[in-house]
Amino acid sequence: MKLANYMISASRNLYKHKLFSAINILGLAIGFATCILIMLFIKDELSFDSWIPDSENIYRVELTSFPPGTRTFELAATMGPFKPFIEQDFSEVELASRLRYEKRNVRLGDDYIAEQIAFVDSNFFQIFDLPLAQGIVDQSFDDPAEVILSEKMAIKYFGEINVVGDSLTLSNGRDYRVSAVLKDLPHTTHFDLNLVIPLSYSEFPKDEESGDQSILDDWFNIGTYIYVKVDRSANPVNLVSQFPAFLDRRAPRPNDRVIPSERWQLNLMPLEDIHLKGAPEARIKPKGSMTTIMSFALIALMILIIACFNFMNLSTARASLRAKEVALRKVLGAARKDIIVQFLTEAALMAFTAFLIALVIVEVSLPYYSILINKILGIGVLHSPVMMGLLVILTFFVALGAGAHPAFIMSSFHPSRILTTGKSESVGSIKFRTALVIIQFTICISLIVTTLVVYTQLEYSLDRDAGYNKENLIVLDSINDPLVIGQSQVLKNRLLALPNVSQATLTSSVPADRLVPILGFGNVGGQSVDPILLRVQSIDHDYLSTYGINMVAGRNLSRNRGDDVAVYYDEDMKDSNILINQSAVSKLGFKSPQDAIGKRIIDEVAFTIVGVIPDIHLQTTREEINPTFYYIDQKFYNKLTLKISSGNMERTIADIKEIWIDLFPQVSFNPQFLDEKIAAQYKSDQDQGQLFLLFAGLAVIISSLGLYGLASFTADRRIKEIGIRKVMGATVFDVVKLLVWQFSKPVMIANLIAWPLSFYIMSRWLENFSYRIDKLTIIGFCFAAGGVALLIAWVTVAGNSIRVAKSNPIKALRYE
Amino acid sequence: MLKLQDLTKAYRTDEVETVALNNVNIEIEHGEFVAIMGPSGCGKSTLLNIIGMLDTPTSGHYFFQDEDVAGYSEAQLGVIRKQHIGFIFQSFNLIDELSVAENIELALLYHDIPASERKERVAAVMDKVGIAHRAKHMPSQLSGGQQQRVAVARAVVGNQSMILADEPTGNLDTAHGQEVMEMLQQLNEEGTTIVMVTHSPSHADYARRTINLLDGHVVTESMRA
Ligand SMILES: Nc1ncnc2c1ncn2[C@@H]1O[C@H](COP(=O)(O)OP(=O)(O)OP(=O)(O)O)[C@@H](O)[C@H]1O
Ligand SMILES: [Mg+2]
Repeated sequence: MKLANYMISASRNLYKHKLFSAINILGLAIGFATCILIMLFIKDELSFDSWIPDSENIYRVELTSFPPGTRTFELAATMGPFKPFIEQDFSEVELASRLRYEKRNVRLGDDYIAEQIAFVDSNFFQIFDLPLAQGIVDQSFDDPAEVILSEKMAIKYFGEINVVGDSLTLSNGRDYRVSAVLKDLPHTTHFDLNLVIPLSYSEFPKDEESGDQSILDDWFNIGTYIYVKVDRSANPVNLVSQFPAFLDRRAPRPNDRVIPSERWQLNLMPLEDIHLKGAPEARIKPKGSMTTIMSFALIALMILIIACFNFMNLSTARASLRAKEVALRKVLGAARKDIIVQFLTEAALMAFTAFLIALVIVEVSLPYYSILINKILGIGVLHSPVMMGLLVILTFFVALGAGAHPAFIMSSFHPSRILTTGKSESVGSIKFRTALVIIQFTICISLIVTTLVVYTQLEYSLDRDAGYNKENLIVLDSINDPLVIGQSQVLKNRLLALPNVSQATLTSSVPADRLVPILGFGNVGGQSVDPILLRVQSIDHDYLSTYGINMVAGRNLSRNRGDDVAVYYDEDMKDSNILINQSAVSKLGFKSPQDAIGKRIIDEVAFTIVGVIPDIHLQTTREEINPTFYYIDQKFYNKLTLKISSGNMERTIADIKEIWIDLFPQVSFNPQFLDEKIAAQYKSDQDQGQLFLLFAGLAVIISSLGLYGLASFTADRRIKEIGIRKVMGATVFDVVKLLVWQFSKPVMIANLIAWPLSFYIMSRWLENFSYRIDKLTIIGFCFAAGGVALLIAWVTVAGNSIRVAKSNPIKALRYE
Repeated sequence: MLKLQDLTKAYRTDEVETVALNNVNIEIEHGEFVAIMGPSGCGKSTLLNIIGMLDTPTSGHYFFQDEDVAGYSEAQLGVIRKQHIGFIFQSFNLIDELSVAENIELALLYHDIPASERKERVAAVMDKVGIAHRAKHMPSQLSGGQQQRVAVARAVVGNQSMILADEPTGNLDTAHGQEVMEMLQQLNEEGTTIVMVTHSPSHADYARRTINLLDGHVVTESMRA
């Protein structure tokens, strides 16, 4: 009964102080909503692969490689030939299965579309018990003419999912019969399975011409993922400890001097850990970031703190206005306990109202948020009783935490003093309130600085001078497709005949390509050395002109000289001439570019350096420029880069496509603008920047809501003082200055705390980049953020201050 | 010093009009000590507020040192006020968050006086009203009489030529009331014009002239011999 009374009086009180309640509830609601959205993101990141049945017994075999003279590589993929030996040598391993991706062209009507095909061993679906939409996966998924589709692919190629028994045709001319349709995998899965075909020699045959072994038997091709399912009772640590001996027993020696376990190390990565802790290189999907999760959790906490501080701050501030009410209740017989319960009830009522509004905000903003974080988040998680329960408990604690301070302060008022002097006693808590405002603005300023730094670095990454002209370059891939490679020169010449194509070059890789081969050289200028590793890029003689690169020393490779063309990895290998970049000059130990000209470096054949070109940026600003070696080897062309002179871009691309389809009707045409490809590398930075912008904005909004409430309260409280000052001759301007200064001081103190903090954190963050903005610019951003925060504080409090400053002093002094 | 001519003040609140002052004519000479008396609600405070330029009349003229200030804006009045007029209130109206010295200094703060000179003048006036030993105390640590002495100090520290006091002894016991009245008398003897509202006939006796108000009218004016 008493509780009902409390509820009624609480809701009346909230209604009576509408502005106060609205600010309090809105601030808390925004805080809650932000928290929930961040929690959804974190939960999603932490739940990768845990939905797969038996996930705790599944591991991926990952490889760490220690090539001499360079950094360590941690690879998600490993050597395919291990697979049968892992099953044979370890009794704990129940099943081992390979997964290998390769791009193939699939026919759709008259077109061919490039698709990433997953090739897997027959037991793959015994390890991964994935839900099916249609059909069944028989025990032996081993018919080479069999394919399993995802629902999405079934719709794409057949328009429906009831397609078991239908056939797909690939550009190799073979038909594949659909044996089952997989339910689309949730995005919380570390691999993609769109089109699954059994892994077999018929897909990866040995090269009849050269006699080269099948890629499946190649120990030095590290591009196969191996998954194992282990016995429930097996200890993975025990397994891993046997791996070095296993490597030496089964793997070939990398060369005469080292044994396999010195060069390589095998690890077992639990399935559920792959997303966040798995090896960073050769991954199927980008690695999740524990740092991001931690910083988001921190931001969620900070925003919740800001919102709770508002709550405490406003409630305590208002306490003195309600002192009389409290005193009267006490005189009428209320015990201290009753007052506390009353104020806690009010706090709880506000917190739960805020919570309900937050749920609405979350529902409405989720689609936009999903775009921002690149995940399709369902509200479904929220509707689970556990999650709801957790949130309700959180709300309860917020109410308790934020409500306790004002409740205890107010309940401790002495009725006699309040009723006789009419004075509140909460003056002492002005310090406390100021401290809360300082913390709020410290958080705001830090978030603003973070946002500015992230965005400026992003801008720098996108705009930096890469050392070549990236404008109007179009890249065509699939040049290494067996149907294309033999005709690549024909393609290049026919495209060059187009009026708008001014230059073209065939290369093994283009800027922003991730995986680029590396070669070691043990003999430089006639002297034996520890192998020096250089990035290898195959180019043609038009490379420099297409990319607009000038020579630093020596000459370009020429089409008229036979010794400028290399033949490597082949029966009739021969010596040839090469170009190197400037970092390779110093890496190889030459004193100057001039000094390098004419020198020979030797791997299995001798390469003579005939020219040096400048260092150009081929990767992101995170990576250093690699020492690189350029040669002409027609067997290793993967990309064709076209320089478009001018005119109608769409028209030109249509012309190019026409020629492509005429030559290679069975290979998909995927043109890409190089500058877009480069920008795409920074997609996650861009997303992160947007999120920081959002969080900083929210923190600022919540903080200024709080400041606004506090300012209007304080101004009311200081009305007598202001009256006296005006009688003493203070002008409106003097008074506004006084009030605005009162709120500027905490913001300035917040600056003093936030500046060194942000500088430290953000200069650490910038160290992730090899090429970055000057760290001193952070100082400029600190000033800017501080200025913005001050301005926000001023705008927030100025309106109220002017109103109070203009009021007639006698009103304030009369009713004393 | 000042002259009120046909001065009227009416308060209008939602259809109801209260005429607080009705056709008041008063002249006060430089160096006078005037007491204003009358029953509650007769318009004493209103009159004092208008004289003190905290409020403006509805009609009529107010000549302050031969200048008609009746139509002046708040900002114009503020300039004259801080130059010439000091105030003492019944409820002291000290700022709780400031010390005694700081409260007194407040009256100089808006006058473009260098800090060192302010300090000197505050120290001098505190000596004069006998509150120097309490300079660092907060108002809540003082008795009522002491607080009113601070208020008196604040009213004269700027060398104001006129002090307006609205029931300065209203919140004080007899002994303290006496003290304050003696202080005002001394200030008057030194040349300060004093206009004081009071309910106490004995305190009115300190004044040379008493004006009696009733319902916004001046009913009698009496001079002490
Ligand atoms: N701001 C106002 N709005 C409306 N009416 C007012 C206002 N101020 C004063 N009054 C009215 O004007 C009349 C005169 O008030 P005033 O305060 O001058 O009286 P007083 O003589 O000082 O009384 P007391 O001895 O009680 O202080 C009163 O009827 C009062 O109600
Ligand atoms: Mg009065």
